[in-house]
Amino acid sequence: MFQTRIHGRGGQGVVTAAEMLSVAAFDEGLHAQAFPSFGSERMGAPVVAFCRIDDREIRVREPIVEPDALIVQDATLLHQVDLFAGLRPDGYILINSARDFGELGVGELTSRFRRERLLTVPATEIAMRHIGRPIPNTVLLAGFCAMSGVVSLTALEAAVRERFPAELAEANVAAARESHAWVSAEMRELAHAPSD
Amino acid sequence: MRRQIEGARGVAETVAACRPHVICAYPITPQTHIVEGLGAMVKAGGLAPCEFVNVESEFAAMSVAIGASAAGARAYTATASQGLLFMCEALYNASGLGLPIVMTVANRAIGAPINIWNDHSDSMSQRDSGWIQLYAETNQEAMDLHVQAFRLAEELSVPVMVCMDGFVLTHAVEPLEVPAQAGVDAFLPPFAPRQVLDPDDPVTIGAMVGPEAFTEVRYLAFHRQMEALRRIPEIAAEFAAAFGRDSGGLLHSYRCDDAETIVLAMGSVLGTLKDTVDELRDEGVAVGVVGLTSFRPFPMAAVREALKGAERVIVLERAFAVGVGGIVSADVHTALAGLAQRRHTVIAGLGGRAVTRASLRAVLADAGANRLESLRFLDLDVALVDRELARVRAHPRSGPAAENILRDIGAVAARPH
Amino acid sequence: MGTQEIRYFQVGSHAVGNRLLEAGRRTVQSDPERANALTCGHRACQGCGEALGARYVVDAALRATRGRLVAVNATGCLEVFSTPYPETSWQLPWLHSLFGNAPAVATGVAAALRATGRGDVRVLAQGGDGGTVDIGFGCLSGMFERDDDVLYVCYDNEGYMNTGVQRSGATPPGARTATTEAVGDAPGNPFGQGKDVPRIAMAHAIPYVATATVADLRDLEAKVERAMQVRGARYLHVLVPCPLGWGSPAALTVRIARLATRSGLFPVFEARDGEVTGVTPIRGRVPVEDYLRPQKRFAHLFSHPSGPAALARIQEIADRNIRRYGLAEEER
Repeated sequence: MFQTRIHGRGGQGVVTAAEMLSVAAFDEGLHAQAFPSFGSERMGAPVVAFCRIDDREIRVREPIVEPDALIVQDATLLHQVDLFAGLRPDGYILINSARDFGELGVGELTSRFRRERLLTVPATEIAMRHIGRPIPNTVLLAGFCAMSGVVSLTALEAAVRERFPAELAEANVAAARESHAWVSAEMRELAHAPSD
Repeated sequence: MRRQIEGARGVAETVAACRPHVICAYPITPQTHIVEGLGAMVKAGGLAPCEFVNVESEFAAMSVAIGASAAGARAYTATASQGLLFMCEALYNASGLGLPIVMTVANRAIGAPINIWNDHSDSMSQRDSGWIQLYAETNQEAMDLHVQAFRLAEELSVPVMVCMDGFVLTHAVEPLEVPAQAGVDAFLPPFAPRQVLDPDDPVTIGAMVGPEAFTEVRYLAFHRQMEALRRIPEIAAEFAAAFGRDSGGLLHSYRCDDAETIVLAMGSVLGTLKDTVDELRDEGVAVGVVGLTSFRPFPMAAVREALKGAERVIVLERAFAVGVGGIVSADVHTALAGLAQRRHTVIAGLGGRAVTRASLRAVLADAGANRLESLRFLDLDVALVDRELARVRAHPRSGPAAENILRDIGAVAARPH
Repeated sequence: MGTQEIRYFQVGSHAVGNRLLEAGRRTVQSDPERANALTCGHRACQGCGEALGARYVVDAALRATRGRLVAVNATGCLEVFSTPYPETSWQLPWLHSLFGNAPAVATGVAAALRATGRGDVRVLAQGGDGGTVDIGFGCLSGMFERDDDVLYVCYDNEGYMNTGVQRSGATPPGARTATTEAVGDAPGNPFGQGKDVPRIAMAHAIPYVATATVADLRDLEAKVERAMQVRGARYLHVLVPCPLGWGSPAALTVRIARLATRSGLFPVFEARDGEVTGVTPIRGRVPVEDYLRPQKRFAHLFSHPSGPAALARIQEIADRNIRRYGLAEEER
């Protein structure tokens, strides 16, 4: 089972992100369970959403306390909420930012986890260029696909096309492809770079 | 065909397939996605001639359903928590009049303190209202139970509430199969009411009944629920034959055959329990789970049969009777009367607190080591409670307990001194 | 040639009775073929205004709908005296649910009839003032706001009579009830803001609103008939004296209702889509005392020191109604 936890704020499409990831997994023949953890509807409040992916029926319903991957849609949460609680030692982190982990002030994470699995991508910027709105969720999911390989970019694109009307879907797909390429490139760099 | 959809969406599409005539709805978290889905379907014309009535309160919602059902329409509504309480008078009216309304309860805690998350206190508070209560373990079961509910309700002239855990099930997106329209049409004959408002054959419905006959009328309600005990498994079996899936029934047992300890529970926590049981079984612990689906009527004989072989029975419940202890436990213990067993009640998951595998493992370990009390509140932060009790002892005007505790855990800003 | 004595029957105005009118202008009640929907044998008090009003309303509604009618009733006097276990007086399909939900139940019945292809069958909802202006008010407003196809009739006897004459939101200022006793410095019901439900109904801009009393039964029937020509939410507010609760002689129910209109305290009018479209002018205006004196619930106004001031304020209310609705009879 692969467990992903997505952090963001209300209005950023965090819940949709978990849902789309689950649809992409379903389209690849996997079992997926996506669910939110939130309070009353309010823009700007911290929101967490979860997605479990497995090759068999998923019965457990508790929140994900030991994620295999974390996606952070809003970097302003980094020092307000303990986002990294429970992340497995082999875990992946993908943060929506143009800066790197050191510049974000969470450089110490690189010593606790596997360096090549801690990545950032300027998702909001990419979203603005292709979609025209600062909703980074599909962009980050594409990065997640590149990063973890749990779900293919093709499946994600299909999920996007199911979810959004044609024009918006294609803009999201374009943004997704740029993000996928970006993160793949970042991973190659890290694989060749000397250890910090 | 399976689709990756939200539980609430699945319920909405399934209810639509049951061809309701009148849907009345008042919004309350976490049922909103169900009624929104149905509202959109009606508005787009897909459910014609169904009427969707946007009512001004839950009391109005159940009242509209009462009028509709009495006039011969298949009626549906959904609610949760405070909304269920607000329609309480109408709930008793519906069951007393014998109207086969079906309602989804998206289980949510009752305030004060106000809480929008999942537990069973809402439906439990109405356990004696005369409604049949079925609790779904999964979203698929929740959907399937609605089809069975209309059939059961209309056969017996008893209203049915299908309970599904709010947020945990309603807002989860997973692979679900909406029963096909043709299958539902074959399973659910058109509504043929036992009593109906008809100018060609006028009747008076809702007369006063005095001491001379009240007992008999009320006994008939009891009798109908006993009938339901027989019909629920039969309808579930028919459903399985028609749709190829086991859903509903009175209860089901999981790995209980040689279990020393059996945990009985209802609702979505069963999924987490089964995973926990699998882990423990791999470690050699003889533990099993009974998932209770029908809470009203309470299947005394089936529960006794399912639990009698265990040395230890733990009832895990998501509500409690203040001043007493467990609610489900009370009925379970009645079913087990005379058997020499160790019995425990674990109150868990109140107000949406997650019931985790880790906590369940700890409880079962304590049970195995005879460290489990007869009544335990799972994951209770005793220190937090003690601090509030100390505050109350120290200051006559100690303030609202909830705010004090929230301040203590840092959820609310500290008061400046 | 012999002489024959002709009797003129008073029907609430200076007009002559049914017997001297051509058939088309006679009241429904004068027709031996009427539905008699609230048949005899019910347990209403002698002189009950509500029983009279309900009989006229339902028979008129059944005629207007050619018998295609369902009635929904709130808990209250009408429901209780018409269905004493094990009997029922009702000759039409009739549903009683709860005290506060008659408007919502009626909405449900109307929706069901449409959804099951019986849209020709109409819905009549009935409730007393308690079930309408107080506990059923939220549901009533919801029904109005949605413009549900229901004619709601409120039989207003200005108190919770069935439970022993307690004060409701419709109880007029100064009136004695069991919860506003004629004791203390300001005996009887306090002077509050009132709850003018006909005007509240008009504020919802529903297709038809009207007031009527049991003193002018032809007018009451005509309003029911007109209401049934329209689809959508309709409201009829009928003043029905309660001899027991008002402390008035059972034989004077009709006369007291007439005095209420002649004093100006109960304006009789019709409104469509939120605008007044017709009023019944007062014939033979009387001071409020003439209306209040025959009722024991106002006796303290004529003996207590606070009485004169209270009477003056009540007179002001009547004066304001007459001005507001233009009820003053033109000089002849």
